[in-house]
Amino acid sequence: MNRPNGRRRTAATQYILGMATEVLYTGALLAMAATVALAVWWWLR
Amino acid sequence: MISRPKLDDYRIVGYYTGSVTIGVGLLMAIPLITSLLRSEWSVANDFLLSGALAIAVGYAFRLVCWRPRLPGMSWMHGLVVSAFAWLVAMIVGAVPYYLSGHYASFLDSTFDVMSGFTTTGLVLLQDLDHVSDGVNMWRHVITYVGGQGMVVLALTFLFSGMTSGLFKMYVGEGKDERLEPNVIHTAKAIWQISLIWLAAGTLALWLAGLAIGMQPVRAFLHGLWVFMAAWSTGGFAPQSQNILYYHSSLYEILTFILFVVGSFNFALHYAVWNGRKREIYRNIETSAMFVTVSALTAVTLIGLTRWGVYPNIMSLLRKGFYLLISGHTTTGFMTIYSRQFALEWGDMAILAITVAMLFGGSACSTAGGFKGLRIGIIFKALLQDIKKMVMPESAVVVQRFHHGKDVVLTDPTVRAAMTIVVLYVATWVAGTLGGVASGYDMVSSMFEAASVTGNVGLSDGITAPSMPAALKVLYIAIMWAGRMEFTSVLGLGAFAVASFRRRR
Amino acid sequence: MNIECMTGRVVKAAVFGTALVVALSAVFGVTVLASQGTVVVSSTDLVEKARELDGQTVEFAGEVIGEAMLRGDHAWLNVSDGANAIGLWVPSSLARKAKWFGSYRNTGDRVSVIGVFHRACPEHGGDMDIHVTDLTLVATGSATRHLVRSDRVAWAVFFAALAGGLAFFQRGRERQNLSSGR
Repeated sequence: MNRPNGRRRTAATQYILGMATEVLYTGALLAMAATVALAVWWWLR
Repeated sequence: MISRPKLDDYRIVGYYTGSVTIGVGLLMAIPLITSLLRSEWSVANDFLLSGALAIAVGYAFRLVCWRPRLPGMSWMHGLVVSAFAWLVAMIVGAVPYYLSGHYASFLDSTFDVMSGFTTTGLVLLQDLDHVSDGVNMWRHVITYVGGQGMVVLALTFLFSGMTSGLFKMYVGEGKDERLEPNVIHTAKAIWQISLIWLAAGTLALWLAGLAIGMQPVRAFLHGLWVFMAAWSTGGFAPQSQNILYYHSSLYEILTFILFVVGSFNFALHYAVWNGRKREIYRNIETSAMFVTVSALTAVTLIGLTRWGVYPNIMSLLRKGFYLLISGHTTTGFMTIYSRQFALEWGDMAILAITVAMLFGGSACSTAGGFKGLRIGIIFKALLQDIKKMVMPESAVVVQRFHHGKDVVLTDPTVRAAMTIVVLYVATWVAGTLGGVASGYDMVSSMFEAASVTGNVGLSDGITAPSMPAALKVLYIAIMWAGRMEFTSVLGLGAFAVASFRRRR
Repeated sequence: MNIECMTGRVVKAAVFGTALVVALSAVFGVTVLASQGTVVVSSTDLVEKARELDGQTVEFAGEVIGEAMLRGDHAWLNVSDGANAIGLWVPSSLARKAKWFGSYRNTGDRVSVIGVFHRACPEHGGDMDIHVTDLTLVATGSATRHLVRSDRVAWAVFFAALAGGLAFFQRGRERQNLSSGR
């Protein structure tokens, strides 16, 4: 963000990479949380 | 106590409030254009009327309050302006709602505006399934702008010529991180992140809408609106059934990811987008969130199983897990009817969601609640105290946490975090009391109060046009105070008290 | 309007109303006879008494809203009776009977359906729904008219002029002072 104009393309790549990281991380976080929770649930139910 | 305000203090507050009001009026151009494109002529006229009224009110404030060489803004002014501007914005923003004829009273329409601006998502609007595209656009623009911050918006577009004192307004709105040294650049960075996500998220939801059998234009509008509500953890949706309308796991998964990403700290987005990708799992907030989410999900699922609410794992995840995260990120998207919470869910799962709603998302994000940062800090402080107990008296225990960089935990940090958490809890108790006093049962009142305090928007049926007017006013006040994280509301309170104190 | 005309209207309305009531009760009578063992429910019944109605065959009527979302050989229709909208899982052939969908522009078709109610449908991720076996069109929908109110147009013009005037005046004042102050 707020890069010099010459590097606009790099910025676009950065956005996409950033969004991809966030989506992947979020997916992983939620999956892990769900797994932990399901394990506890299965153990205690 | 602060000294008695002088005339210039009122002028400063009025002047900047006027500017924010003008901003709200200009914002009505978006629903106005929408209704023109969708040939909803009477709605377009309502927005023209309301927008012009807001701009006139804004300029009237500036006309009355302006004088040559007005002194600069102090910390106090910043806080008072942000708190007061939100109240004025609530009133002018409610005009098109009221004109739409979908509200029982003007109070109901102001409730919905406050619910939108604070990204709560509770609804008093009636017959949502027959609401025009223009009004729906306004509802979602309100949440989207409210999530990023109304002052942040005004900073970006209206005050770009000046900088002094603006950081105070920005802080007053419950955001306190500088992504860049300059506050205007910080505001612009926030908008840049949000707008790029807007494009990507709308596209994804549009395609999903087409895949689940919606018409192209409706799929696009719904995609845009649902994105706005998800990203800003708002919880409005264009149909009365909320997300249940779509009957689609694809739509649920997409919104799920969007509102979790939306509940992240803007400083975190900023770090990740600038190549510091490790920040996302090192940050104290994401770690705190992982722990609380896992624990509370386990409690919810066990509760739901004990009470035999859902028949299989799939429905446990699509209802239990989805709604818990929707509450935890303070979004408030619903995939069940609100009365089902009260009637079917059982006390254990309700308790888990109530706690999750109070915890909330990340600091400096669109989310509400205590925020992960404070939970993390308080946990670390507890850890430090335990270490001190165990270690020899002469030992110096240094506790660190990672937030952008490694930070040493200090007592003032802990104290600030604790104060805010105590205020949230006190507010929540007040909200619960209001519910109980109005004749609702204890568990429902606690749930709804948590939803209001954390700016969530899950409802177990208390919020309805038929609820007592006093409770509506109380909920408006709580939503407002919770969104501003109390500081600026207390500032406005102190300002008002000081104004009416007798001069000594 | 003269009195004769008024009485004429009242009489017409009365005749029409009676005819409508007779016709409707005939329709409902037939439906009830044809579907013994079904419970006629409102959306409030479904939400409030979900546990006892779970798995029962119910009859539910309301306005189709939004759109029909086709998913292969079935479609989702969301039908609102005013209090709540309920999701209906309908065979596509039956779903095609609905042509008008409730929105700002239209009043949707009014349908009456018979089907099995699920409090938390195992097949559809725990959604509260009705798996419809029979769908009848009760009334056809129509386009809704929204008139532009002339008083509001006048107010809009007034406020627009006021806003423009104030903006012009105040901006001028502030700008002039900026330039003279330098």
